[in-house]
Amino acid sequence: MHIARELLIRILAGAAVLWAAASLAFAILQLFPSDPVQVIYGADSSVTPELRAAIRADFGLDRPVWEQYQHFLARIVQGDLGTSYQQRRSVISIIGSELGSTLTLASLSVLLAIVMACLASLVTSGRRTWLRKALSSIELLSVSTPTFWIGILLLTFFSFKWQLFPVVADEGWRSLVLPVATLALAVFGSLSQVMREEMDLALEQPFILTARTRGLSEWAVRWRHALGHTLIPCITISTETFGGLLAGSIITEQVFGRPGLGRITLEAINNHDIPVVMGIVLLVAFVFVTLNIVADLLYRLADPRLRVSAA
Amino acid sequence: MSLLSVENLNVTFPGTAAVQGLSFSVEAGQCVAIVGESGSGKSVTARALVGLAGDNAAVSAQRLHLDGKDLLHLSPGQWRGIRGRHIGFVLQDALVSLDPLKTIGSEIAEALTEHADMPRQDVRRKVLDLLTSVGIPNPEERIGQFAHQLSGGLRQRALIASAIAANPALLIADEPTTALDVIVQAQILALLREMKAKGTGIILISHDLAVVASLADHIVVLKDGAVVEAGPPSQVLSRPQAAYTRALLAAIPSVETKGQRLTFGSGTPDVPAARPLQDGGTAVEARSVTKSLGERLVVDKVDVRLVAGETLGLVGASGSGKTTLARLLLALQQPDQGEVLLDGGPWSHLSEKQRRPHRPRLQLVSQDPLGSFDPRYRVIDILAEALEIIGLPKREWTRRATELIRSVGLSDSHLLRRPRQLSGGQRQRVAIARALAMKPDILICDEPVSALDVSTQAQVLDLLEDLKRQFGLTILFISHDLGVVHHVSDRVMVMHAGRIVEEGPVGEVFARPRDAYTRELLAALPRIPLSSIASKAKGYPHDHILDSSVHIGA
Repeated sequence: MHIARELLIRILAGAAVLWAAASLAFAILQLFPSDPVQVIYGADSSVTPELRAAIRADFGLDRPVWEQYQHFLARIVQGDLGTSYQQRRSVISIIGSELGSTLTLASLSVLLAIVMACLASLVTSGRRTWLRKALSSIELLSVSTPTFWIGILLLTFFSFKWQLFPVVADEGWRSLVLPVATLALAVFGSLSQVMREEMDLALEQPFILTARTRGLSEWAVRWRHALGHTLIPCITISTETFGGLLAGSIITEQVFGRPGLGRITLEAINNHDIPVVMGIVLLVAFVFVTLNIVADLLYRLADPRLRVSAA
Repeated sequence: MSLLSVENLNVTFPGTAAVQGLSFSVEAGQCVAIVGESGSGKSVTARALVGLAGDNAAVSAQRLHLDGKDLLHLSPGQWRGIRGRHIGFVLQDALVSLDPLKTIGSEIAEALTEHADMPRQDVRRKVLDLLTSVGIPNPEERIGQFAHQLSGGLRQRALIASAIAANPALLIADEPTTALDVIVQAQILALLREMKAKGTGIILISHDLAVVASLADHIVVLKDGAVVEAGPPSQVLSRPQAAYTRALLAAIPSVETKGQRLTFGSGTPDVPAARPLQDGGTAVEARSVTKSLGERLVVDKVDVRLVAGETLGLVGASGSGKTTLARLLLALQQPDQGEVLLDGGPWSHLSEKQRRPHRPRLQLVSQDPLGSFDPRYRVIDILAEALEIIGLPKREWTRRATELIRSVGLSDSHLLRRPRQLSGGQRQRVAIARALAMKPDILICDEPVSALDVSTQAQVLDLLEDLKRQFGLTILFISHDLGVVHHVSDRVMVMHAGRIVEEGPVGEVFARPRDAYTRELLAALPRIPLSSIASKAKGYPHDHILDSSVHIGA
């Protein structure tokens, strides 16, 4: 009951954030107006004033700003993000056709990063071994190297030199390997650093000593007891980066020539295709709001102390 | 053959010898107590006995046998077969000693399944049996709960259940009652006594002689890693040979130490023990104050009158509302109902701005001052900050800080240290010096010695008494420790579930408690045979009164 109420509040708050994001985007567009006629027919086109007016009326641009805003909000609420100036398709269908590709890439990357970071912490926490030093160096490298550069390096070796994976194009799982590895490596760096520090702390706690006095093996102590204590920062970082990857894997997608949200964002901005840009802004806001709620629910799963106590 | 025999145990860390030449043996159904202060090597010993002294520790011994089996040359895998199965281990404060992310049921089951293959339903049944056997009511409900959902006493019982799950012959309990209230402490000690009677050998590790007195068959007193005295309780507690043991016993505040100094050999003050109460008027008064935190009523219509010049003791279990009451008196929180007066004038009803000029008059000394110090500040900066608040000119700061640090028994060189470079006792002295810097009339001490060893506690209590005389302080002394409260207080109030259940002159309340809860508190106190107190106080043995007992601080 309590949790349902809290969830409802979070969803309402999320809706408010979405409304604010939409309004802000709308306001900014009013400050930098863009003419769909120009976008559709090019800057130097000789469109008759009648046709221009007709097109503007078609997009509702002849109405007062307030009315446009109301219309804009009403459409969003109905799930209609408008029509692209450029492609004359609905924004929903444009985003929908590219979303799957980005979603696959982002979720696989984050998942791989989590698995790698968990393994790295399990193996190296609380120990001063050469392996720890080596992994720390890799983390530092991955955090401080631009993602596209990692991608180019991977391409150079795995595609051009050894020809293990295709260079470009979207053909099955083989074309996913390198982009996923690129993004996962980037996420792994920060995730692993934080998780290992958290596990180092956990391993110092008295309950770990208690577990050891039960005769547990080192691996069991780490796997059953210490790992759980790294989950909170893991959830925070993973959900945040997942959102970031959905919205902005532009460069990686470009490097690997993959379709995805990054590409359509870039095209929409270059072409002043305002409805598409707005659609993406709203999508990103929606993704982050949702991820925040999901993270809060996951926190409760990870740590019983965050659940409402029954007492 | 002894259950455990230890001969000439040495544990060294790089640069320091933590334990040197320790020998003792434990028989089945017997309890050996290892007593010492922090840094004495008692916890290192406990860990060495289960092979967990740490990677950088070197453990050696002439003999380390458990049930005839040599423990000295075990592989890590063999050690795992010993831990939990043959030696159970209980740490202090189960809130941090049980994994907060696991249910107590799964923690206990872990100890079972680690050493035996058991079908699932058998594990559950055995866990329920164990919960019942350590005295946890409603085991069906508790089995699925987490440590934070249990009270301190139930938590500690669950921890003990996990230690004895695989039925080890030897149980090592490292300060098993230190974080607990007297009443809960008495229950846990009774549980250990029950296990002893069933034939379990117990090694009880504690800093508190009074706690071990009721359970131990043999007491080993450790200091700086070496044994200073060992023997049966009748000898160690009643006819202590070593000066250190005598000092430890003397440092325990109790009925008998009232009006005397606790630090051994420092003499008694030349003021009568039971000082007559001189009524110097009311310093602080709370009139029927009530305070709720969330939905819980924490302070329930409480009246307090702190008379100028007295020490008023406030006793109660944790969660009884003592600290909240202190915060109300300090006007750090506002009462929901009722009023707090300072010198008969308004206090809680003032605005914070009106209150601020008077704030220096009331100062707080809390349990662990570490959290109240900025770790980057040196002691002199900590004091200077207080001196700045009362408007002392800057050129006077160093002189006054030196004066203050000396008045709390530290030297000038301590002024340049940072909080982390000080021991617990030194930190408490700095906290007191900081309070004194404000030239207060009233000191509110909230569990000021609870985190300290018994001899450090003795020094701080003596210091407070000295300062009280020197500066004419009025003190509200809050503690869960009845021995301490009895030692320092003129009057005492007993708090229970937000109410004051009993109030009166300290001798009277302790000798003739009227309230049922006060009686329960007093009955739960660990006892030491009276003769040891009498002999160290008077200097001659009192064997004819060996049977009688006095209440000793927990």
